[in-house]
Amino acid sequence: MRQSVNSASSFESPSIAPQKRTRSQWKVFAHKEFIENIRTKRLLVMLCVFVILAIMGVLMARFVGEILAALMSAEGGAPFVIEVPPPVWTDSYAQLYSSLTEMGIIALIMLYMGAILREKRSGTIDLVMAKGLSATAFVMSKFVVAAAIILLALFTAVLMAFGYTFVLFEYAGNIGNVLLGAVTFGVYLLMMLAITFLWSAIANSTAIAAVLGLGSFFVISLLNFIPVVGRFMPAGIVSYSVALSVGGGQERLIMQLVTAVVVSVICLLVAVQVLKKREG
Amino acid sequence: MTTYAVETQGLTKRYKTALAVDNIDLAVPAGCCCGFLGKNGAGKTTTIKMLVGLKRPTAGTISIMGQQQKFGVQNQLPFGYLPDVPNFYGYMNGTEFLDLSARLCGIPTAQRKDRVRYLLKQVGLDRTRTRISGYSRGMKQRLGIAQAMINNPPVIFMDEPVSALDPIGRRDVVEIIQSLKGTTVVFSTHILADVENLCDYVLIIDNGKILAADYMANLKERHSKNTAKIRFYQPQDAKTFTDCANTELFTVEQQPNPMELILHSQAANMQELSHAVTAILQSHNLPMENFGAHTPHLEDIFYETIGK
Repeated sequence: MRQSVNSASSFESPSIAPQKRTRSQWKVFAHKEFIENIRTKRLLVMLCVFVILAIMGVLMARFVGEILAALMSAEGGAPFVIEVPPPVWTDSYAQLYSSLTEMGIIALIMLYMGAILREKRSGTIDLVMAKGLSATAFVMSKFVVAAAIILLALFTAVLMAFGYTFVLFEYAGNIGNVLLGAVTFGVYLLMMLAITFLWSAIANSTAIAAVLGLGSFFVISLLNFIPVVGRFMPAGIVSYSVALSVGGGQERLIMQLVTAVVVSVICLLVAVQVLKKREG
Repeated sequence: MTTYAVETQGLTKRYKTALAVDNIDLAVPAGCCCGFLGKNGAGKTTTIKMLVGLKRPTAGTISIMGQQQKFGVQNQLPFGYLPDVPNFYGYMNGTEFLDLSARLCGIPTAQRKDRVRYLLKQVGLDRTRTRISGYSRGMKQRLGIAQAMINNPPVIFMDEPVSALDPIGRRDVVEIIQSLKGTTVVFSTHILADVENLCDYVLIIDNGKILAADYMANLKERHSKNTAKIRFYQPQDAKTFTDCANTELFTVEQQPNPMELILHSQAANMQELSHAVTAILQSHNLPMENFGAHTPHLEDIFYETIGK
């Protein structure tokens, strides 16, 4: 039968004041998420990827003509002549968003496809949910922290591109326009993050989550090319981000932003419902 | 009047192809240490997961410390839970994980640090500075017990807390469970010796049905009513007794010790058995060392209950 092992090890602990569930559970979990993103180097990797893409984009914009010319002369003279227009500062932003749309989003999917899946597979989600953490708080705290990190990486990259463009082209456009372009692209990135979270909540393996995430990205990119429907598709935001950055127009942008926000909200709601119905 | 820490009525869990838990009614008295016994696949883990809100019951109700529990709704935290293989955030250390658990439970800042320090000391992890990813299995199990106790709950559920541990880790965890005075502990296991040493209440489940639910003492008394043990000085005497005991009043069960026999009485009471044994001993002039009621081990009760 049970008895005290010895007085030093018995659990006659000081009583805990009656607890009531606080509304700030999601803040507690968000703090844990922030620490996790730092210690698992996700924040660092995200920043590095975006900054490298920004620098590479500006360099490509400035030197791609000279690189091609050097390659052709090294071959002993090309049989045909490629006319490369002289580089201009606007090319920097076209290259930047092109790189971020491809490599940046792939990095995002790879880094966050396990955000919920890892906790399901390891069982850590059971420990925290058995302490009363709601599915909504669980998903939203993860999303908010990941979104903050992605936006931090995006704005750092855009500011780096702005500065580097100024150094190489002696003009980098209006900073307000550049930041506005970044904000619109940020909406697109957050939509991709929400989709990644949805698959992370549904999938039972990392490979499936990766395939679904990358597949969604591919499909969204393709939908942009469908006539009529394409004008509502969020992938079009990318070209508007470039246009806004260089002071261009914003026709039909609102519809695409609204679509992106609606898709994001639906994905997060479904992810929450999936976890609510999940059995440990 | 007995107060029940855990009560269920008609608790059922049905999967597409199997009935994992079949309409069980539990009433675990408050303050006891309850051993939840059953074979692999008997329904122990499913039952515990339903009790802590991690599985949705197909039917039935659950009440813990008088509070009705509903799947997906956990406004109060009347229990702690240790899963069978607890996993933690490997990048944290023990202090950080317990602090996170305390914050999630809403423990006020003023008490949180003391509580975390206290529990780490109690489970012997107060001097461990490494991250949880470097913990041994036993250390993780001890941290798991600490996190289950973080809000000083009146009930703690533990799913196979010692099954995967080495002897030293098992001893550590058993000592911690022993020291949980005043807390209702429900732990599943198939290590019968641990239940016999630790528990005062026993649940036996098989094929999703509760076959026995009672205090250990009552179970032993019930199963010892018709059983006696006789010990001879010589193995030959035991053999002679066995050969002569061809009676309808009792059957003889051989023991590893050749001088001992267990007698299962078919008689209404021990007195009739005693008369029958005395008659055989006198007629064959067999000296015996002692004779008395036999208290069965939990293992005997378990096998008898599940019919193996």
